[in-house]
Amino acid sequence: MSTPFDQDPALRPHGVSRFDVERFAVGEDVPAELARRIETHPELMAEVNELRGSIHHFAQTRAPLPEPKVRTLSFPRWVMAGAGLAAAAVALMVVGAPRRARDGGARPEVALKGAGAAPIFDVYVSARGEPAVRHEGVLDVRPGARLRFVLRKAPRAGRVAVVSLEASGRVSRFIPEAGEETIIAASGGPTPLPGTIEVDAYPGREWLVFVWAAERFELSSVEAALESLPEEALVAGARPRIEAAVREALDAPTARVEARPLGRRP
Amino acid sequence: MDGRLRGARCNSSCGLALPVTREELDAIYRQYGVLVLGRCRRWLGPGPEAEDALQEIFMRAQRYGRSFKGGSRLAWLYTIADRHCLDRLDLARRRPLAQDGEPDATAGSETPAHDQRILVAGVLRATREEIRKTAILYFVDEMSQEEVAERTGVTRRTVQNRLEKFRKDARRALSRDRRSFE
Repeated sequence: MSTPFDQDPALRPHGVSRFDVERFAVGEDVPAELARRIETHPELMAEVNELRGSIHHFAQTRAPLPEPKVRTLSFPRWVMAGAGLAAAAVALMVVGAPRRARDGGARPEVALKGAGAAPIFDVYVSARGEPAVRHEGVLDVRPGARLRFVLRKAPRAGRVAVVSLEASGRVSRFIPEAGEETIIAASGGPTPLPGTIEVDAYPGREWLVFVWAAERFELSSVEAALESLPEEALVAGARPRIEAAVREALDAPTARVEARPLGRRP
Repeated sequence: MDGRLRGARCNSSCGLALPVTREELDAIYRQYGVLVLGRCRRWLGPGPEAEDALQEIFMRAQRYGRSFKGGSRLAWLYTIADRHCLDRLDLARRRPLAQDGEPDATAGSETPAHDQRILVAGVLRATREEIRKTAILYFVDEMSQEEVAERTGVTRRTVQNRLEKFRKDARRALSRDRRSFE
């Protein structure tokens, strides 16, 4: 049975890769020896000149990038409060032993579904500058509150991500704040995850999606899976669909996913 | 106001200032856009999907700007482009069937080339990262095995082993794919 990869790619002119020709054509610094090889071979320079013509034409004729889609929100929803990270981290460590719900009711943790020992995420809330406390019961907070996430325990070392999904379909990455690599978390004791989220007054339904896997997983796959959900699916009862979509998108057999609704009090 | 823009309104102390300004992004787009578009077309074909992908890739480049550690910006953009295009192809593979069991008629016309791209994406996504990177450098960037070895910091023998593993994975995936239609 043959595949598209059975044959080696055809040899490039003078052993210079397509990528190196493109780098040279776009004006990036390349090693002097490579530049000399390209400049002294007419075949390669013909490629370079053709690429430069395309680059010039593109720059002259293309409209600028469109602005990102603007949604119907009146003001920014979430702000990563970077300035408060250190203080919040200290507050989290001071909180120490978890509190029990006064009524003995719902526990505050997010226990990710799946076979075997499940990792547990805690959500800590700080309101009006007060110390962060682990959230009890349904995640229902006031605008202005700040949230932090802690991986309370995990069966083994793994990677985590926390993403927000709005009813409008918009996906926002919370953990990690930047980059494409998920956060590495060791097993054992509580692991505060970097970053603080400030809640705004967005009126719609929203989910926090927690993902843990022992394997490396693609954050972009989580986002793409959530973005691909039709808006009509994001109504009450959407939680199983959200979790299934993310699990299915990940090439990670140990992946655990939990979608938790986030409500707001006036 | 879109959440992705909020960083642009933050002051420097809020921790969310976007690492690539809009002006920088536009300049990068003018300089590299046609190359990234070419990359998208290699993955997605000549249709409008490549154009859509191009814009999304540059939006991601703005969001992930902090992950650029210097070196070749083209390589960095291609990494984002490859992941995004593979995600798109994977979503196409997972596209749900309509209720009558036929493929969704709104999905667009599939061609053998399109199916082959989806197969390639499926194989690439299913394989380990170091093997995927090696395969992309070799088959897509058309580097020699020596160049791949140099770029990835391994021996040529390791590159050969990874390519062989990739080919085995591809054959297995193709076999599985065919069985699923029999």
